[in-house]
Amino acid sequence: MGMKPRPDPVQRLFDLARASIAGEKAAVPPPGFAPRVLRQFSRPVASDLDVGIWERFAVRFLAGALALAAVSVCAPLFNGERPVAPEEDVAVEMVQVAFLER
Amino acid sequence: MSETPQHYLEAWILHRDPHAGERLVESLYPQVARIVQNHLPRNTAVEDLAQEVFVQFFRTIDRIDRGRPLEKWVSRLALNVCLNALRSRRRRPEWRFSDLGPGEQALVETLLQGDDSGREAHENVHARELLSKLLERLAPQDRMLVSLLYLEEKTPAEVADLTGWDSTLIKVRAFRARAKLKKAFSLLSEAEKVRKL
Repeated sequence: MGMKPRPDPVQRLFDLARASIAGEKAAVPPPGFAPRVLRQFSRPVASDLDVGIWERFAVRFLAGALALAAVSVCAPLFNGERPVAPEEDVAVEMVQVAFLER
Repeated sequence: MSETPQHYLEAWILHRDPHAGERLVESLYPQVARIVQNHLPRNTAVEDLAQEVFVQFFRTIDRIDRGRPLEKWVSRLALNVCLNALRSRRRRPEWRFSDLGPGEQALVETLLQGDDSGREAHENVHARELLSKLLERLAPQDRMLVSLLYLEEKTPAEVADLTGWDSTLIKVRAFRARAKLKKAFSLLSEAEKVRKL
């Protein structure tokens, strides 16, 4: 009869946590924080051309071209062929001729 | 002319004035730090996440809707950074009563008895730590939602405006998340009762 209802523990936990937050002072940035952040953004006002998009396109195009070139050069190695320089062909032939003429 | 964050913002956007940029960071830092502290565990490096927030802020500064309060834009950015940080954290195993510190254990006992009127104000820090551990049982989005509603005491409409989430979904998820928290607390308290036997 007339018993006081027990408060919800989770609700009470939120109330106490809120009281803890209210008692804290406002945070201040550590020394050098603002200049450190801004050093990443020291650039002139952007022009009409969206340089960012074009730069990204150029990088991706070059990366693709380089990748293609690398595959073209390395492919013979993976096929079991040893790439032979033209001068080497001539040298091999000269040795063979010299051997036969002996 | 009084120098408000809005004034510094205009000076930065138009002239990239470094002085204005620094004042802007300093004036917004308390808000950003508070959001990070409210939504992430207490051992989080606040400065690192605050720096990430400001990095995002300056990257998107030219897209700011200057008709809306600057603080709302900053809050949304900070909440997104916090949400991404929560998602990238490894999920911790379930806390047991024996994993809690002495202050937290005493708090659980007090809350079970339903009478914490004798607590000192400085002991409220244990409430934050205990709450942070309970919140780890929730998915990142639910954790953030519960913190906004019950810790920061925002209305569902304010949460919807801040986050862009649907207001009906907010209420449904908040109800379920609250039920999960109660269950998590009851598991802790069951362990405490067993300990006393």
